[in-house]
Order: sequence, then C-alpha cells, then structure tokens
Amino acid sequence: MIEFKHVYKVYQADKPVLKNINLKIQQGEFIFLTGHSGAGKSTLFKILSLQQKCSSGQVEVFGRNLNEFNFNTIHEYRRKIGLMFQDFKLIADKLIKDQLILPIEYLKLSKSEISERLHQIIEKVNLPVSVIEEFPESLSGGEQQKIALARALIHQPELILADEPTGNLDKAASRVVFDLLTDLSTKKVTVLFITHDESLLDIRKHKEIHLKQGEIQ
Amino acid sequence: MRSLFNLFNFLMVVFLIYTQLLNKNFNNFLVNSDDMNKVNIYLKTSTEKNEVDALIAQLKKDYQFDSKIIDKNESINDFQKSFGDYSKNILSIVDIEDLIPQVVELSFKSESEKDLFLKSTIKTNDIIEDVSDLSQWSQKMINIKKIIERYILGTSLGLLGVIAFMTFFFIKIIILYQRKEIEIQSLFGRSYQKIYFSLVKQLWLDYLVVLTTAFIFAWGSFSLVSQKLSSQKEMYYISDRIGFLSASYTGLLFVSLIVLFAITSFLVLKQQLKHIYSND
Repeated sequence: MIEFKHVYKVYQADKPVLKNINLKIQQGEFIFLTGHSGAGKSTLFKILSLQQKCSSGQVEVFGRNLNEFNFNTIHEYRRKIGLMFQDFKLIADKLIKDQLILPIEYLKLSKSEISERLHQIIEKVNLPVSVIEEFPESLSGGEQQKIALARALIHQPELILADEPTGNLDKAASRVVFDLLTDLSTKKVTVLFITHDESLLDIRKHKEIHLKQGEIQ
Repeated sequence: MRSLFNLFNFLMVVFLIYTQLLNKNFNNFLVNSDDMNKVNIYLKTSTEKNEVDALIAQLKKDYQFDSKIIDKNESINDFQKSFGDYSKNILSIVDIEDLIPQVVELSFKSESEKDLFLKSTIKTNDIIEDVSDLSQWSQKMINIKKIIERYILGTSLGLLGVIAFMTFFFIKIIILYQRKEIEIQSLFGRSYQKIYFSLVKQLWLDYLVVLTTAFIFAWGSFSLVSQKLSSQKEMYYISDRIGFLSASYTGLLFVSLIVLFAITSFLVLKQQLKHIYSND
C-alpha cells in the first residue's frame, strides 16, 4: 500500500529533515506516526499528500511512484486519499455542503445521489443533518473537525492521512474522531494517524512508527 | 480587489479610447498629406466658365493633374456652413459675393510636376489672379500631425503596456487572495484544469462587462459632447468636423484588448496555479 525506500528530505544541505526512511504499510493497517515537534512527521505527511516531493529515494502508494505525479495529474492521486488537518482546512465563506462535495464533484453524481451521500456521511460523524446548510464559523472546533473527517471519508478513500487531527480538540471530541478512524481500519481502509497525544496511544495498541530527528526509531 | 481591478480596467480602456478619438479628430482638422501636391489657382472674379475650361485644357497638355473647380456658390456655402450666423451678418454688411473668386484646385501626380508648374509663366495668364502653393501650409500641418501621431502612438502603447502589466499584477493578487481556497480545493481532488477554467470564467465575465461598459461610456460621453457643441452655433465648425471612431476601428480596438487580456491572463494564471500545484 505505502512503501518508502531510502527516502531523504533536505531543505538545508547539512540538515536533512528525513533521513533514510524505509517503511512498508499494508492495506487496512492503522498506524500511529509519533515524534516530537521537528521530528519530520509533517514532512512525511506532506510527501504522502503530494504537497512536497522527497529529495531522494522513492515513495510508492497504490503501487505508483509519487514522483511521477505533476501539477496536471496530482488530482488523480488525491482523489484516492482522504486528508485531515489539525487546522481543519475548511473554506470560511463556503457552506458545509459545498465543502463536503468537493472530493466527489468529479464523479458527476445526480443531485439526489449527492444529497444521499451527504446525509449518510453526516450521520456517520454524529452531526445533525441541518449542519450542511451552515458556514464553518458557526460550528465548534469539535464539529468542524467532524466535518473535516466527513470530507475525508465522503469519497470512500482507501487511505486516510490525518495530521494531528485531534490537536485542536478536547479529550471527548478527540475520542470521537479517533474512534471513527480506528473503526475504518476494520473496513480495510489504511489510516496514518500523526499525533503526539500519548493518551490516545494508551487506549489502543496499534502499530506505531516513531520519528526522532528525521529517522525511524 | 476585483472591484478595484475592474474600475482600473474601465478607466484605462476609456482613456485609451479617448486617446484614439483625439488622434482621429486632430487629423480631421489638420491638412491631409495629399495637399503636398496641391495648388490653388485663384481666378479673376470676371472669369467665365468657358475660359476656365480652356485654361484647364491648355494645362493638361503640359502637366498631369486632377482638377476641381470650386465656384462662387460652393465657396459661399462653405463659408456659411463654417461660420453660421456670423457669415450671415458679414454677407449682409458686405456684398461678399463679388469678392469671392472662383478657384481651380489642381492635384498633381508628383511634387516635381507641381514644381515645374510653379516655375512656369502661368501667373501671367490674363484670367489668373493668383496661384497658391498649399504645400508650405501643409508641410507645417504635417509636421504637427506627425508630432501628435507619435505622441498618441506612444501614449497608446504605454496604455496597453500598463493594462497588460496591471492585469498581470491584479490577477496575481486575486489568486493570492484565493490561494488558501485554491490550495484546499487542490488537496481535495479538484484538478488544475477545473480551477483554471473557473478562474478564467470569473475573470472573463468581469472583463467583458468592463470592456463593453467602457466602450458604451466613451461613445455616450462623446455623443453628449458632440450634441452640446452642435447645439451652440458658434461651435458648429468644430461639431461638424468631429466624429467617433469608425466601426471597424472600434472593433479592432475591442479585439486587441481582448487578445491582450487573453494572453496576459493565460500566462499569469498558468504561472500562479502551477506554483500552487507544484509539489517540488
């Protein structure tokens, strides 16, 4: 599913952010990616979400080398993955429903099909359906992250990449998001969960990749 | 930001149209370059039509030219048309008709031909009062015309350059304003092409509205000024000679501005979106 082969990422010549990363993640696995600030977690996330390219080495996802994608083809890859961010990345002046249909707009579904999908996903993240007619600013942090989760799941991706998705949430809201994500791995969805929240690690014993100064420990 | 961009474009286009109008209407007042080879022969007031015909026939044997006879009536009509009520007053005070000579306008095929004619003994002809070489006056007018044309061309090119640069700059700023939204759309699978075309649609719609409004505004304001001038008798001379740009020239200007915008917006959008989409 995901394979890193001798991956390096260098911004400054003498200070590589990622050093010789080699790892394999199988389909349906739930992986915690942990490490202190500056350990290279976010860089690894950016490489996997094609926001950046690795300086050397090779990253393969779904059997394709990520270096092959360019600005013209990048969407083909991103339509197969679900992304979650600590800052939610919701568009302030767009209705929730418009943000949720973003990952499925290319499917050219009918209005009724879109409506059905919206209702299903909103129910899945335990929010009232009326929320889709609102703007992000009228929602709490926990609700916004649930919307972000719904947007990451609506197109039924095979891979979820979540960068500190519980970083801005209280414990209860974190637990809800975490439970929803762990539940996905039982449905053959691969989840890479980047966090530094030790309490979440204590709850479930999943595979953990720990990064320290750009290297896997 | 979009409103500012649209307002700027509107003002620039209106300014550009006014510059072209200035050019066109200055030319209307200045002597045509064809006048360089023209000579006016002023005939004595007592000259009969058959004498004029005989004179032209005689000259045609030695020189190549086109001729035009401007008789008294035509001269008086022209005088009245140009000076409106003033002409009536003058005509009533002085019996000007007897003073106005018939004129034969000769347009020579070449300047050398005209020079030969001027060196001849034509002035000694009995029916000729005077011979006037229009080229001296024309030369001065042509020099002024050239200066104005150069100034207008420079200003027009400068304006087009400013429009292109500011289009580039404003679109860049607009994308910068929308950058976060574009980045999010890109992260959630919207293709480069889809974002490109949605921005193009947005910008083109604005631009076409601005362009059309600017042309209508320029035409409307010009018509208004022209109407005001023609309603004042003392301005008749001016209002009779000014005119808006021809349909073909207006079309050319419109198309040129569209092409300029198409090229500039294509370049800046491609550059900026590539930059956002790039994962290097």
